[in-house]
Amino acid sequence: MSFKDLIKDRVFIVSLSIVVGLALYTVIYPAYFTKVDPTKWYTYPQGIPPCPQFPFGTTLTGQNLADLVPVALRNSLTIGLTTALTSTAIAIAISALATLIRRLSTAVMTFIDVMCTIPPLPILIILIFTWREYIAIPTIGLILSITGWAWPSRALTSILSSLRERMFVFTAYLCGLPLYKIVAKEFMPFLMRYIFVHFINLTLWGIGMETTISLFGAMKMETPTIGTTLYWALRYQAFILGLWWWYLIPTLFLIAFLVSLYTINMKVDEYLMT
Amino acid sequence: MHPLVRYIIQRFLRFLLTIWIGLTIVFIISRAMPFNAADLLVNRILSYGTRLSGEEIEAMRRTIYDLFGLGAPIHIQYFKFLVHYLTGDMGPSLAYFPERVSNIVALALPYTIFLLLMASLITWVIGNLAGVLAALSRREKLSRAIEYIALGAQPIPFAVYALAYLMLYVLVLGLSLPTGGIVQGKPFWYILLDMFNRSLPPLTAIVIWGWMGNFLAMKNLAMKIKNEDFIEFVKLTGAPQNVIFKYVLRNAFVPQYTYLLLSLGMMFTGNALIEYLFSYPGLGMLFYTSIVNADINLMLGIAYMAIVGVATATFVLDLTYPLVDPRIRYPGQR
Repeated sequence: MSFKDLIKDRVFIVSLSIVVGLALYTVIYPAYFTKVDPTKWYTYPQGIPPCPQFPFGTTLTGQNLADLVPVALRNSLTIGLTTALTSTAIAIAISALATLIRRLSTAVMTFIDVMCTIPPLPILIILIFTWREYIAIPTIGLILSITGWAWPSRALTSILSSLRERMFVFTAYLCGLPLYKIVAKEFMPFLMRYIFVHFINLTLWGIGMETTISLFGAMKMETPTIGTTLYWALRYQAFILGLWWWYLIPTLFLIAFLVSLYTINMKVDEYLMT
Repeated sequence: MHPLVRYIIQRFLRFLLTIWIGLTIVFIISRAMPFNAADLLVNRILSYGTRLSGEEIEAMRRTIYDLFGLGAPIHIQYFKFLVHYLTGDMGPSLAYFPERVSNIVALALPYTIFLLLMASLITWVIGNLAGVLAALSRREKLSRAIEYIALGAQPIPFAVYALAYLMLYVLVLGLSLPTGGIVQGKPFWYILLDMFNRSLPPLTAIVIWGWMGNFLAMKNLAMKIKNEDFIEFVKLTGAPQNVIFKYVLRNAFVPQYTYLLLSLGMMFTGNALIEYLFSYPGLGMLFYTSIVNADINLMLGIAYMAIVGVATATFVLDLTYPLVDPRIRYPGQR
């Protein structure tokens, strides 16, 4: 698949526009159209189904979902993206350490394997639960990357160590190409694809982790994210009382975003493979 | 030394290493808290309205600090912490004071290990068999359709699915969730039966979702192996389909088994959430209680026991690895 094919691919264009559109929506809407701070409770009548005045309805905690959803989505995405950025950076550094410095390689590989088997959830929950009063939303992403790097660095290490043994790398080395040029010109074209895939997967993982931790009630509960919105819907029995708009609308927004992101991931992967 | 013995020793050392690193992480987060768990306990006891004089409060504070091993230099604290946790002494729970954390956690841990092992093994077997079948089957449309369903499910967070399944289970199908506490003081088979009965709804929830990841990985792998020379050769000898199936499965088995071993820690996340949503009395449920009660000590104990539980399960599965991978059984043929 060439670049031209990629930008002409209908599925790719649709998913890209959904992702960009939703991202813009979460930034622009709260900045210009929201009149009341959506984090405040009991500012609107409670539990109104979607109607012209409240297009997404209101919650039993008296929040307008039309104001709440973009902010919640933005916060969830921020967490996901920060997680992906820092985890990918850590993963690249660690896997480079494991492959390029041969003396350390067994030790680092063992460490990566051990970190893969340590269950991340309890550690992350304790950290976020105890620090939640003092930290902002992006910091939660940083906390998630404490365990997020383990799986990608395992995959990256195996790719790097197979790359290192390839003939063309040796050729470049024997031709006297400096190390940074070998990394930039010979490694990067191969690595970009994997790094991109891991980046998207880590974003998905971060958002999923955020939702899980919120459902446990350990997130900053007064800050709207998709997870905390679901948590309060669960706490206020929205599922039994039939307030479908409270949990369904945020979830649909989230799923629309994630599915589009995943589709972009697959399409770009197809493109980078060739 | 026989390679098999060396392998077992290596794995055991890794098991110990996992627990040590896990303990160190737990120690760091317990000391890096913005507040002091011991002070929290003192305040909580005082808030019950006990009438104590200033000296008595000071004496109690000192006792509790001793209990938590605070007040000493950090390396001695670390050493004490290691010794205490390794001997199973995780201090008192704050919410159920003076009940020991170890007693509370020990009751829930078997339930979690049971669910974790059942869920991971069942999803793994179903996913892998379906993956090989889909890669080899001649009904391309069907296998393609299953693949698209599995791919479409990948980006959806497990938490969202778990909630949706809970709603389907309770509200749409109108089924009831088994409730009640942890069974104690009954014969072993009775407890096992109770675990099985209790685990059915959460288990189905995990299995319906979990096989898809294994399926996709296995299908990719099997597609690659299918085009290898030795499979081509078997085909040319006129072997029937089921022999080819066996060949492909056997060769894809080893990397998939490695994945199973490493993924238990990841599986724990989904497990804990499902336990809490379906009120299954494992560590996940207990974790939720400890969060509601802000019971830091119990949380740390659970984190530690989750690490030990997953490490133990991994180690037990590790011991079966030589059965799967002949390269470890037969020495000197690398």
